[in-house]
This record gives sequence, structure tokens and C-alpha cells, in this order.
Amino acid sequence: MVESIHILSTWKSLFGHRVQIALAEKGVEFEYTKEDLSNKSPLLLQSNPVHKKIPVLIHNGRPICESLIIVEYIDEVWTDRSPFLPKDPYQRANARFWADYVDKKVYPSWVGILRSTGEAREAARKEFIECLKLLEGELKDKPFFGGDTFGFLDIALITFSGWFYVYKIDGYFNVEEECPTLMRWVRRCRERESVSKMLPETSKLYDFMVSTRKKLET
Amino acid sequence: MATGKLQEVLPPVLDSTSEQPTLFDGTTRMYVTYTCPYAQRTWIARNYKGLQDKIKLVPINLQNRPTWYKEKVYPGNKVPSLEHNNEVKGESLDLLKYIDSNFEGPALLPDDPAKEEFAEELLSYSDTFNSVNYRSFPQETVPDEVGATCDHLESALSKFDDGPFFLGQFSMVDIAYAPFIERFQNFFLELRKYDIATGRPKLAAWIEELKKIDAYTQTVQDPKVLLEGYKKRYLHDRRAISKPSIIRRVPLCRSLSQE
Repeated sequence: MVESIHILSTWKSLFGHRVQIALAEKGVEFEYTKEDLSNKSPLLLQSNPVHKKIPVLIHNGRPICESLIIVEYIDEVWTDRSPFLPKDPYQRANARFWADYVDKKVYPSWVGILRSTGEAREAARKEFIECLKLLEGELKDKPFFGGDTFGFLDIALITFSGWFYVYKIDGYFNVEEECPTLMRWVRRCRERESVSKMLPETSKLYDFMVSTRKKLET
Repeated sequence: MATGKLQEVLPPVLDSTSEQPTLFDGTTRMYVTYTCPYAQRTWIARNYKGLQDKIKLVPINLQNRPTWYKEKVYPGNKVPSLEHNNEVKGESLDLLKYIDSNFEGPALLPDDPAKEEFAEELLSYSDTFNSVNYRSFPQETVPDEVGATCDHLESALSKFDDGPFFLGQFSMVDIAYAPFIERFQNFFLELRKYDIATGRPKLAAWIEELKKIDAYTQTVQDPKVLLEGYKKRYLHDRRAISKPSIIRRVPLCRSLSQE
């Protein structure tokens, strides 16, 4: 059967990148539609009427929403290669716990760094670093979060990595100094074809950050 | 308890037009901004330990910084910082510990391992507390997570019953939280009609007890001024309006690369 695999997303969506990386890991080709979030397409609104958010994966006409849910779906459909989650239920629960932590804690502080100023920004930065340190503790000396193979939690977190470089260049903070082990994991992941192809160029992220901050400072 | 009852005369604020003070001349200087809550922490500590004569307060204008501050004093370009023994250090929580260890005066931490351990936990928690509350500012309704952080403090205040403060007696934990709780309570009360102390008797009592500590009250700025600053910074619609994306659908492109 000819499969139809279609992603709706935006160039810089951290959540969309997870889905793209997951499909690339499975060697699955897909179609991609770039959404304009100020003018959402009818397809997006139909596919995700509850949240009206990207990313959405439309697989053979059926939509799946919420990036981590989509990543698990991809793992469950294409089971013959590159499993993202281990078999053991306890380890699976652990991976899901930390991926949820990334969404609940890492993401809001990332938003704070990008979009707030003054004390609020400083508070967000501090929290961001603390979250990364906690995750670094979870990684310990394993090559990837799940052990020897690139998996679910790696996919959930690696999409933030471009921003580590952005803020290092900006001089605002340096993840390399704060979390050297995590940074080694970042470099290891970014060598993978799936990751290097799907993550946007750091310079584009940097330009976006600069223009965002200019508007905030006026 | 509180020392230095006379209100000291606060020095004028230095800005980009001001000359740099002589550095590393043996004078211990604490660089602050009067309205900054992080700097207020170290300022309170200085007052509490009676170090008004030993540590000179140097207030700078954060919106119009003297260039010499970043170039000559503290490359981190933030406040607070402390110039002492030919070195300049930053990071308010680190400075609280440094001041406690390197200067005389009443201790900022009790000599009790259980309390010290709890102090570490609460000091670590302070960044999360601040982050959650600040990001709630733009929201019309105060989100549940704000209440959750206040509940966390309420339950922390129940741990030791030998006094109304976090470790029973006044300590650097109270100093760490005071400037922020002061601002958050004022913001949510004035703009959201939400009082963080409602239903939290220990927190309410802590807030009242804090007002009796001169070392703290001497550092409190006009709440109206602080609130105006927050309104200006956090309440107009600052969501960066992205450059309008290409208003077309990318035609179906069967490839692994994006766009």
C-alpha cells in the first residue's frame, strides 16, 4: 500500500523537529507543509480542532497530534527498525517521565529566556540551567538517555540543542560550561543524519532570537 | 536581632555618565541596583550583619549602566556583585554564603545539620519559585502553579516550630525569598486581586514578621514604583510577531529535507 505521511509544522518548532527526527530515524519519507501560525490552514484546523497546534502528523488521512504522542505512534507503526523505547515497562515509564519533564519544565523556561526581560528572564535562565543539570544527572555516562541507542528521550530533548549554541554565541550563558556531559551528548546526537538534517541551522535560530529581543527591548 | 536602627543615607545612583570609583583600594564594595530583588538579598545580608561601615553600597542604574562596570568591575554585568580582597564575585545566593563566612556579625545560618540541609533545599527551590511566578505575570488569571509554589513554602514553614521563619530563626533563606515574595504578593494583589497569603496562615505570619526586621525594611523600595516597572515590562503584548511567513503551502515535497 502506498502510504501517505504528511507533517504540518513550522521551521523552528521544537516539537515539530521531534516528529521529523523520529521519521528520519525510521527511514520514512514524508511530505511537509509549512504552516503560518497567524493564518492557520483549513487542513490544520480540521486535523487538530481541539488544540489547533502544530505539529500534526497525518498518516493515511488520519491525524495524530501532540509531539511526544506522535513520536510514540511512529515507534509503534514502524516497529521493524530503530526502536525508540526499551521493552521493559519500567524503563519505558522512566523515559516517558523525563520526556514529560522536558515539556513541563524545560520548555517553559526556554520560552522565558526567549521572550521575557529583566528579572523574569534571569529567573527563567536559572531554572533552565537547573533543569538541564537534572537531566544531565539522569544521563550519567551513558552514550544516550536510553543506553546504547538513540531513543525517545534523546528525541524529546535534542531539539533544544540549537538554542544552546545560540545563547553561547550570544554570550548569555554557556551550556558547555554548566553541563559538559550533556554537551557531549548533544554533539553525539547532532552527528546523526536524522538530527543534522532535521534541525534548523543555528544561524537562523540566532537571527530569530536577535529579532525577538529587539522587539522586546523597544 | 536587627542592628543598625538608624536609617543610613543611601548613596546616589551611578550611571553611564558617572566616573568609576577607585577599584581594589581595599574598600569592600557591594554593587547593587536599588530596585533589583537579587541585589536586595545581599543588601539585606549586609544590613543584618551590621556591615554598613565595612561594605560600601554602590548603586548603579541598570537601564543606563556605567560602561566601566562591565569592563573593569564585573564582566557578568549584573548586580549584585561584591568587591572584596581584590576580587569581584557575583551570584546573589553565593554572595549570601560568602558574606556569612567572611564577615563578622550575626550568623545567617544556624549551626544545625538538619536546618542546614533544609536551607540548601529551599535555596535550590528559589529559582523555580521565581521562574513560575514571573512567567505567570502576563496571564489574566493566576494559574494553579503559582498557588502550588506558595503551598510549597507554606508547608516548608511548618517544618521548624522554634520561630516564624523558614529555619525557625531568621536566616539567609528568608533573605533569599523576601524580595521576591514582596514583589509577587504586591503584583498579584494589585493587578489580579489574588493574595498569595490567603489560606496560607504560616506564609501570612512570615510576611508580617519580616516587616519587623529592620535590615529588611531598610531595603524596601516604593511598591508603586516596582509595580509600574513590572507593568511596563511584562504586561503589554510583547509576543514577538514573527515576520509573516510565506503564505502558501509548500507543495508536497517527497524528501527528507525540510522546506
